Amino acid sequence: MKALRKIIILVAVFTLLMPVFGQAQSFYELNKGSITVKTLSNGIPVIIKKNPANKVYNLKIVLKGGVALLKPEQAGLEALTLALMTRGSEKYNYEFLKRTMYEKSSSISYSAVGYDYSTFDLNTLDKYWKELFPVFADVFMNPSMLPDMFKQVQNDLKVAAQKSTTDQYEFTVTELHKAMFAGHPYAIEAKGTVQTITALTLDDVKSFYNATIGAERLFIVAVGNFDEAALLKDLEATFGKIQKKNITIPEVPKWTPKADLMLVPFKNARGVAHVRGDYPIAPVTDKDFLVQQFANSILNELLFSIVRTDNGGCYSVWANAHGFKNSYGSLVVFKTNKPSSAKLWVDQAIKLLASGKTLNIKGKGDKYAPLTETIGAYKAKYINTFFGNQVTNAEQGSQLASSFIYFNDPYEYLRLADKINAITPEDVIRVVNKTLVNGTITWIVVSDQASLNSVNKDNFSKFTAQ
Amino acid sequence: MKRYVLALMAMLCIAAIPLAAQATPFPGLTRYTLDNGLEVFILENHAVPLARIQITFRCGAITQTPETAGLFHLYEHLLFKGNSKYKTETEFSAAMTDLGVSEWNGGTSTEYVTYYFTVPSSKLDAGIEFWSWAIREPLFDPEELAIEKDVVVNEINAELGDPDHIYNAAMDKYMFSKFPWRRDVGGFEKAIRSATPAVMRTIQNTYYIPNNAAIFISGDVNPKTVLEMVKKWFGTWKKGADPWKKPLPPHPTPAVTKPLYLVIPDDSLPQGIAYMQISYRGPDVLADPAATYAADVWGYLVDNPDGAFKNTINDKVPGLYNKDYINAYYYTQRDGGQIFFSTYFFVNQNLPMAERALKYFKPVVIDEVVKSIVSNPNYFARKEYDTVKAIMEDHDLISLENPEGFMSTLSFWWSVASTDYYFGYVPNMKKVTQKEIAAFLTKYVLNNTEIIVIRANPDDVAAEKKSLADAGFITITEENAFWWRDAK
Repeated sequence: MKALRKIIILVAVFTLLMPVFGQAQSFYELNKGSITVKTLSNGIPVIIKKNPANKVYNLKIVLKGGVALLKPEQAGLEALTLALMTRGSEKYNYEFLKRTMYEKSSSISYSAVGYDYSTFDLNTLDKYWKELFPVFADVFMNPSMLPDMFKQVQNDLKVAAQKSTTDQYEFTVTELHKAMFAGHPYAIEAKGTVQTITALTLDDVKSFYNATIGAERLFIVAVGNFDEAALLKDLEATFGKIQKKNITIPEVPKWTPKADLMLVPFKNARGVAHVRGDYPIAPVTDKDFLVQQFANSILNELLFSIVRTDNGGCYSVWANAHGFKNSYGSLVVFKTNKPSSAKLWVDQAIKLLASGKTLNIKGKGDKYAPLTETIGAYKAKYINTFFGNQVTNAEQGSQLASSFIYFNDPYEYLRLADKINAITPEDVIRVVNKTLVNGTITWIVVSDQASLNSVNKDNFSKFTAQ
Repeated sequence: MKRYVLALMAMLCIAAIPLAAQATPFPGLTRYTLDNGLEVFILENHAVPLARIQITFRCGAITQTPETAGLFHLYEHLLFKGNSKYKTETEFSAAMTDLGVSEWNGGTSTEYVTYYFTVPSSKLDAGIEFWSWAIREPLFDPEELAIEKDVVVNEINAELGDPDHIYNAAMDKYMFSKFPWRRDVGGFEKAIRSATPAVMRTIQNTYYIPNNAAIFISGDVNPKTVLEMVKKWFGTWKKGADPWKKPLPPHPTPAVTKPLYLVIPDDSLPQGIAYMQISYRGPDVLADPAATYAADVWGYLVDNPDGAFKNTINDKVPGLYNKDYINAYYYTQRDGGQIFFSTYFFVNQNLPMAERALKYFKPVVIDEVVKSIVSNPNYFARKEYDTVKAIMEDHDLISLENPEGFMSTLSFWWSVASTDYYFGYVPNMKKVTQKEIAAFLTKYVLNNTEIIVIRANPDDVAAEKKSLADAGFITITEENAFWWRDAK
């Protein structure tokens, strides 16, 4: 107990230097010293973030490529491969892994749900690191891929895929993206569908592993109170031996939105609809992507105020900007029995922001206020949300991985506060007009047939608040 | 304005009286109790310059009647809809933006209602003040109430066809058949439509009082300063009559007078893979705390992926899906503890689902394995008990990585049990031996009556309709899953 208290006090002193919005020294300057970038002898980059604030160690092997590496009939193949890798190696079988992870409150897991990359993770406590790192490295590099284990993970993924078809909102997103991204790699479900998972074989997985686990596809992120030199030595002796395999990751092409409204029946809807509209936005590396994300965070409050508070039009409503190589935005009305009206209210909210108005956050006088007066508060809120998303080591690791994937620079996320502060009201107005007022939005409404029959299609064919 | 000035003066007087911190077993966590009964928990963690404020009340479905089922959830929504300082929801959310609130929400559960939001640590005082108006002086404006009724009705109606919702509703209806509304957080449309501002005010005066609440503040904070802030904004909050003075009549144990068998056609399962579960009414934490410690240690022991519990069941019950999915656990509640044994299995008409459940799963799990645990003091080896103790210590270390998660866990235990129960949790768990586990299993499993549930793809259910019916399985659908449909 005493030791832990000491650590907390040390961290307290360390983090008194942490950024607070508006302080003179930037977040970048204050934090860059905690991050080190090295390269293993086979070219695999290693990003280490020293964090003495807790006893958790998080190590990520990041696999570049994502769905661009897959054919449509291979949807779910990388997820299946990574899942099978968690089932052990010849040296450390699955029974050993399960027992060890249970006894040491640790995990070897994977994430293969995004479009552009996947990760294979070890999360443990400092005291177990020396024992668990060799296990983790071995299951990644020498997975046993046994037939009975394949059958088990195949069933697991099939059950999960089936489950997602019965969730009305997940079904909405799947149906929208299937149509909207038709012919594009992003139409491929990273987690697979019941059909594709069922059709994949153990040979498919082995071939995929052999063809795509190469040094040029990998990089490593470590967050925790690591001994840097010892960590690099361990990594060099293991992951440093992975060969390059001449892997080419295909470019992700641009996609063309479709203007036609989709009305898709869902038998358990009980008169309640989900409405979603997606649209192309600037790539994640473009300044306008962050502007869009920031603008959407402002739009969220207008949407909530108009659609939900003023009209009781839904359970929730929001706008998002999804950062991928080929980014897209979304407008969502979640659980509504007034889908046609909801679209009109959404447009009213967009119109306000497009004309430079936000909610009046001071609460006195007019309901709306000029963006020029409120933008500072919205920036502070946005930056606080960003801080809130990097509390755990695993969350910090994800930030580093994303920065390196999209910017080839792990330090990039440290610049976020500075980049947000540089956004002007004119930037927000320009981007909102370009994407949400004058852009093409692909809309979908998912509900039971009776509700779909009453949808006014005209409301979705154009921006209605001109 | 005068009202604000007087209130502020009173708050400042309260703030001048020092309070002593009460000891806690967690480093960085301090605890105080204000004179009005409000419990205050503060956890320092300076990883990011944010502070999280969570306030929790001991109420929810547990405090409902048939007529008010769903109204605590509605109340949770209404707290965001305006108060004496921020008159409308728009003013309320605008003020949150002005404060730089990065995350906020509320939640209603069976035994608690909770609200939380995160502010820059430099605005913590204003954040605590903000919540004090919402908590203490909500408006319940009739127009806002009418709008929110529509929102909530949409929310609950959208779930009616969801297989998980149907399963949960059916379990509550049969496991807690005497008072099912005390488990039904969502309620039903008629009850929601009947809500009035007067009913909401009664709920406020009865349950939204300081001696039925706790505030949890974590992050980049100084405990002493935070305590002064809490005293300033919540110190004058008037104490009320203890809503728990007269204990609720308990849900009966056993839940059913004879074994009950249910089958749920569930299209979230693929054809060929089904789920079965044996469940019992378990101990309630305040009525039998010793049994709950034993139950939780038992839960850790049977979770051993390579232990005798899972291995025996996997070896002896034919056609199971995967050993990893053999589970047994106890769900802690003050008014509705439950014990579950569950697994997935492959559908095979040569070994019908009903037979699998009644002739294999139940006899192996209960008559063989549970009886062995009770009768054999060495069923779990000494080493397994030691492992469980190590796991509990590790979980404490891991929980402190994320102060929000730690405080949410503390909030849960505060509401379903008590602070002292949680603070003594690990030490008490460490004292548990086979004797206590045997007593728990004897009382709540072997001498109890089970409800067995099968969930399977509708096509699989249809294919075995006759054998299921012959074995006494009742088919559960949206039409018969909800207690309130029977009550009409």
